Amino acid sequence: MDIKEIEHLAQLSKLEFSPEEMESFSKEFEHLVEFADIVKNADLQGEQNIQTIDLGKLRDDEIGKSTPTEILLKDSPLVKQDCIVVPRIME
Amino acid sequence: MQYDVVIGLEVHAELNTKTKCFCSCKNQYGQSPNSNCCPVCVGLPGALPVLNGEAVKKTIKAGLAMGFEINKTAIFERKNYFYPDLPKAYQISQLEKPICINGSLRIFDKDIPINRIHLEEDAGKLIHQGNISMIDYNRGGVPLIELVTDALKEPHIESADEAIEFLTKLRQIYIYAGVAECELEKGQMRADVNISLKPKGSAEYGVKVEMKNIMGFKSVYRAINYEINRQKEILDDGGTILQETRKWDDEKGESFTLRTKENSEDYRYFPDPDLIAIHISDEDIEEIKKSLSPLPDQLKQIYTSNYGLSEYDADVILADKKISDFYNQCVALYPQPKTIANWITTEILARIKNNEDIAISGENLIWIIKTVDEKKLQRNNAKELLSIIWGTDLDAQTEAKSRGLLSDLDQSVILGILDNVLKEKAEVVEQYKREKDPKILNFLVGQVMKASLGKANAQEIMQILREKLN
Amino acid sequence: MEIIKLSALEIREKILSGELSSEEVTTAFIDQINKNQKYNAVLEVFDDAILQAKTMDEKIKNGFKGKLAGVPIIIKDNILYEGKICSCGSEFLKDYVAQYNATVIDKLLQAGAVIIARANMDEFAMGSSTENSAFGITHNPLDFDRVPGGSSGGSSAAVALDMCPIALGTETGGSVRQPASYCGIYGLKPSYGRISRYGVVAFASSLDQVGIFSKNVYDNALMLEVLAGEDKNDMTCAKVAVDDYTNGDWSCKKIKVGLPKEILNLAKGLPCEENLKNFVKWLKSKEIEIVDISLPNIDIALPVYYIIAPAEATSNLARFDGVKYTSRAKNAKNLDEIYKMSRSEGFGKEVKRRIMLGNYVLSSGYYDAYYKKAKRIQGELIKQFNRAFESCDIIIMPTTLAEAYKIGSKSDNPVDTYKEDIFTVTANIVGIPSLSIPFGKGEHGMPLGVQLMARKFNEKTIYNLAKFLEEERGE
Repeated sequence: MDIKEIEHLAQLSKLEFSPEEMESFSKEFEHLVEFADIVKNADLQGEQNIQTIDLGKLRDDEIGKSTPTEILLKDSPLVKQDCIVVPRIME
Repeated sequence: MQYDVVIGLEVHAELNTKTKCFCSCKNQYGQSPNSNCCPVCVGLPGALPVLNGEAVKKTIKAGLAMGFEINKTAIFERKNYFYPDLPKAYQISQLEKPICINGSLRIFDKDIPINRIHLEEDAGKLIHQGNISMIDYNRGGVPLIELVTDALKEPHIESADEAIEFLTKLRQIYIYAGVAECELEKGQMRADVNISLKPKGSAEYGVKVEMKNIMGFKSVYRAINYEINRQKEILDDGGTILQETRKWDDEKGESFTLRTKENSEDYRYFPDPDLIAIHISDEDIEEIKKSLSPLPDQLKQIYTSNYGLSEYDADVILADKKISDFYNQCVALYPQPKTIANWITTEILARIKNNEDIAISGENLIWIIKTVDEKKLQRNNAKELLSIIWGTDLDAQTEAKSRGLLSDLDQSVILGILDNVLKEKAEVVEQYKREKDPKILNFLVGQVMKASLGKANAQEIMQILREKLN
Repeated sequence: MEIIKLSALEIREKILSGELSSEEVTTAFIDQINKNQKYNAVLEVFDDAILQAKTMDEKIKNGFKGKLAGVPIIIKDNILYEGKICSCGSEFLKDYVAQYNATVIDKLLQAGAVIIARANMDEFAMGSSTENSAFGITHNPLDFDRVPGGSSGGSSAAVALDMCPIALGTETGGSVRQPASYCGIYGLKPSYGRISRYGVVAFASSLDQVGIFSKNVYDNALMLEVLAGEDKNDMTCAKVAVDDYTNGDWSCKKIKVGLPKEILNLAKGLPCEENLKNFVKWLKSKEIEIVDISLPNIDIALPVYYIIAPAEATSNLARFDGVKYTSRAKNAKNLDEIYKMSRSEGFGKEVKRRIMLGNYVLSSGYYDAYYKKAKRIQGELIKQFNRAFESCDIIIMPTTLAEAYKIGSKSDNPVDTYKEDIFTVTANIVGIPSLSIPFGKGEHGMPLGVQLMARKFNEKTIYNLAKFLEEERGE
């Protein structure tokens, strides 16, 4: 598997790897993809099992309790004016 | 060169359910940051979405209002991408089996084909301040319906005017169907627009340019015209259009590139394993159909054909659902649709400022209109009465009586007053008899009205005077 | 009487009768934890455990008779318990304090359980040896040099070390049954939808279930009775009535046991082959009818699993991004760096590998060939199991290929390690219940296990047979 594709997957995964890690990853990935290819190449068709729920059994539109803001944000790394803060995003 | 313009619209509208789409937090605008949130809204570990049945029903309702087919099995997918306003790093949305498919909306005698309406969750809000961005998840999880027109089928939306007509009508339908409030300034309805140009008559479509999240119809109008011109200029110069997403800057009145096709996201959609597919039965659909209130086009038909209103008056009443609701209520109380329409389009609309509520009950208004029709209340007094009870809990009849606004004097009393006036103004009477000047007659009517404290009926007095003096 | 050897049932009875107090019991188990720290089964003993026990003693004095009154329980470190750290065995969440209780925690507390500790696990439940924990390896209670299995290795070792009578683990592809087998105890993976997943940190949502470790069948059934049932916070939790699992018909003469011929092929030449044959022989000697059945495509369940599980995991783990609640990389200067650096620092190697694999099978151009195909084959496997269950009530197969292996002996090619899960993933893919019961020994004298599987929501049939066998063995 070429490094470019691994880089693309790392980008989708929001992960960074050192060049050495990349190298070993691409080798491992050969095995992983080979393994997944068993499914791709399987001469087996089936129908996806889809579980359903009736519309009438869904949740009623009734207001429940929300979490107090200070509890909600207590594990957050950076908070200002009851908002979680990140560096300025350029849109 | 001449071009055909092809415009596609993706319109997002927040549903007006009481609770959010996947949790029971309040669906409410304008609360303090992160106060309408729970583990589900913030995507805490272990939290699971629980679908709001009402959100699905309202989506079906929106679809039925525009003749959509309803999928018997609707599936929710995850749309995966990282962004701080998206706490789970995926948005629960619908791809393969949306709730509504294949509908249309009629504008200027064209049925614009619509591909789908699907239900998804809104993202949180980002507030940019100096060198930081702050995240408020209150809006996160609010149910959002996304409508996508089918720009690959004819007829197309071909101009900014048509696009605005489409949006205006769509907004009216959502409001009349009772599924969304669509207050534009609150961002409750937002549009993405894609535009492509092709040489006139050509069968092949041009390259599509998308413009995201434009707020307000005026901006949509300007953005479309800007983009049409931009593409025209490029094509006229022999250039090619780049497939891209652009951002409209309303202040500068121009757009700029947000991302090109090469950088387009891979959303890796797959069915959300935390949710179960929804089974929608024919009975469900029938029931929702029955609950659907009449839509603007149907009402307009009734107003003009059955009630005899002018198209203009019908449009004025239908422009605001609360006016049309009020009108319908009044007509049900007193079957004089034209008279009522006159009152509402003049006296009532004049009194509503800044989209406030109608501050009079239908019962009170009808009592006033009826009493005027019965000639027991002078029009001027009726207006005065309207102003008195507007915005209060006062009863029209009680007030009219206690303030002596009714024309309830005996005929004999009125005749007595009239005779007095004729005696007192004998010179004027003589002058009238000589000159037959209608102004003089009006003066005399005024004198009688004044002496009767406005309770006499001016037309009747006029009639009597004419008979007496001619 | 040694407290730590008592069953949950016995503990409850002795506490309710006043022979023991919950405080005494809890203290005894905590002592046992402290004495055996070298196994690294437990990550934290909750500092309010004794207080909880004292409160429970008060409640019991006032007439409380919950199904787990005063019974100490250990939970896996991926189940949220309000106010307690829930780290999922990950550096990323090492300081993460739960804001709310998982539904299973609420149910435990309502039943009167005293939750005393959280147990070690493979990071985000990815692994089958507990070697992938950011907080050190857990050792097998029966051989210090061997793995206890995983990913719920801490919970399994804790029960085997008498640190509690029952512990909770979680299952996605064998994470309860395999360590139960390696440690010589009982481990249940219930039907998908039997127990609420609310408040359990997700690995692969369509496969995850909370599982139960115990030293005997009754305790296992008792715990399932407490935990099972619908939950308004989990749409995937089934609205199916909960059986009276502890009140079974322990005579199992009418139960038909199905032996899949394909399993014998897969086991050929491995230590588990002999063991399975012995098990069949023993069942026959107890006059239990064995029928030959076929599960034609059972071998493909494993690659199917290694597509579906990483795909869902990729998406489930995306929320750990350094923005909202996990630790944020200190040197990150912009948003993209926050994501990339926090996640690269926070996640361990195996987790990264599966995130990457998940993105591979979901990414544009590959989705249909991998994920969709896997889901279709999953549908076919469900059909094949349904067909097989037309001629039998229980299907048997080995839990593992062999006994627990040596720490550090497997790691180069990840696929080789994945292949160890061949017998366990099926129950998750098909959604049926499976109990691993201890049976037989491997070549180094370590325990082996055999799985009893039943139709979806038929846990009771499994317990009936397991209890019968337990009694026949005179345990």
